[in-house]
Amino acid sequence: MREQGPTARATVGGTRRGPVGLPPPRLSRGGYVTAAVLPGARAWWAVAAASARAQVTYRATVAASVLSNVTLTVLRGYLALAVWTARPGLAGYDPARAVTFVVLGQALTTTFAVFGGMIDVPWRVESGAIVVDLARPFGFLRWWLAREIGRAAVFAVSRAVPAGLVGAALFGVRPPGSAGAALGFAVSLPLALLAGFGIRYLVALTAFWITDVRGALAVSSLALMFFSGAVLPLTIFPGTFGAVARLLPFAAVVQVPMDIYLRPRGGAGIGTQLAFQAAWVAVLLAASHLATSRALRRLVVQGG
Amino acid sequence: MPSDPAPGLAGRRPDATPRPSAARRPDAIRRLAGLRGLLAAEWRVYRLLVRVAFREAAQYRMSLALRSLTEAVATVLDLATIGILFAHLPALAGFSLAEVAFLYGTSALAFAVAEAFVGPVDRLGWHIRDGRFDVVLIRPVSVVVQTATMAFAPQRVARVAQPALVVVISAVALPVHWGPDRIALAGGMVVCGALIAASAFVATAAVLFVAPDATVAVSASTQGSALAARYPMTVYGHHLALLLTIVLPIGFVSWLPALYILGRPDPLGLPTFLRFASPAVALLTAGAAALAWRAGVRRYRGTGS
Repeated sequence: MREQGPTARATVGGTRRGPVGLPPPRLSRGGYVTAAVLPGARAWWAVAAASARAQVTYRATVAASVLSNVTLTVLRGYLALAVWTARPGLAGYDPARAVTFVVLGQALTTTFAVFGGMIDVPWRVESGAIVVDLARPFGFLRWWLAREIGRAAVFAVSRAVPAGLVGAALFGVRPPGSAGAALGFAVSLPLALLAGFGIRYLVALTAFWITDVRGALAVSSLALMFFSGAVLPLTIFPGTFGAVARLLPFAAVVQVPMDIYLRPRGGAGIGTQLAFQAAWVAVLLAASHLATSRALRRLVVQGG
Repeated sequence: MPSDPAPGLAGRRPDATPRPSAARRPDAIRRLAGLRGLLAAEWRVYRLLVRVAFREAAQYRMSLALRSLTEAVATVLDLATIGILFAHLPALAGFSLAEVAFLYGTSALAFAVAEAFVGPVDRLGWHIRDGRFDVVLIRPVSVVVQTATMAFAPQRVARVAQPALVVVISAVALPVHWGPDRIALAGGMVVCGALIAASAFVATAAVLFVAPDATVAVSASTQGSALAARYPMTVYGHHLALLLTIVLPIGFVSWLPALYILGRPDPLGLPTFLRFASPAVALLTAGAAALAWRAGVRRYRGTGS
């Protein structure tokens, strides 16, 4: 057994300092992002592109994923149709809006990996390969975020678009409510990506504290699916339960972008929705940053 | 480690009678012993490996209890989905809350049992990617038994609790007379449903031999089957319902036998004998899964890692 103290501390220091010669990034969202993103844009691009290439290497995988995404879109679409035909106007959606929610919601679900996982930290901790990640001249959190961006891009093109087209052909998809809604939707997508990443990254980091993360992964993926709006729109959750569910960070991944897109009657304004997302993104990224430095400081690599 | 059967085999030899050596016999004798003997031997090894996983988990009782509790509680979210729907609807596609709860409970129970006992096969992709699979091929135990137990998670068994409870409650709430025919059919449909679900798990996991990265897609399609089995088939429209019943055997997990128990005519107009055909369908799907799995094993190439 060997302490990896020096390596771990060095990397944590590197994360804090930020790229060469820059002042330490503040923990607020704007500060962190500008200090970390702009100077290393080329490195970010390289990591994201490498991650994207890894995702398209196995073509059979892409084919299997398209098939499962189409299946889920169609099943959920019919279920929504059955519910909203019986109760048109439920949660401010007509049947056409409800199936739009399902088809686009499923596209967001796969793009932002709402089904959980997709961040390899736990398996790399288990196998010890995490040491390699610490030796990289690129911050740990940034590395995984850049990989996530590459993965999301591939998933959007290879899974979300085909399944969305099938859904649109089968059920019909409504265009955004207005030009403002379209613009707001476009702004909300990167925020949804960051929120989804933050949640899954924090879950993945628990691998530094507990030995078997499969339980945490299974539970977190169920919670993410249910409370993001991927299973049912959060707007039909009844009473206090629904009110609480709509305030959780999970809502920022699917429900809020879809609310901005559809603008159902009685929904909050686009600005409020985007502010809600941005606030959770700031909290999640700050928590991720803090948890990363804690995790890397306590890392012990066994054997070698 | 559940991935290494050796210590467990050595430890259990005195009292239990697992004879993994049966699988090591020469081919001619194995053929004479017949398929039944082979299956019995594999079943013994499977039970042994599962017992090893439970004993390993029991070393940390508190941890196992907590993980089991979390799994059991997490499954409540599925039930909450149905609860939320019925908060707004008096009936879903003409089926009452008790009827949908019965459909959900029986199919979820079947899928939970299958998940608990062969669920880990979807980790096959990880084993292949990490280069752990070559060892599996040289051990004298069938590949499917090893893959199903290599990452066995004892806490998954706790997922059975919630659907089992839902079956009991909805059975009491249903306005039907529970004669011996209905009770026998309800028991049979869960057993056959679990076998169909397990076959679906194994058959879709066989895709991982060709596409080791497709773990997410594989688990999504099993989730899709569980989702499809949960609601009345008529929700999905006539054509898709027929596809899910006749082409994919999902309707045989709970929908068709449940129609008999609920005393309902078939909205799709399928012949009545299909309601009792689940055992035959279960055997067919198990056979198909075995073929798919064998084809997968044959196509396996190391990843070089």
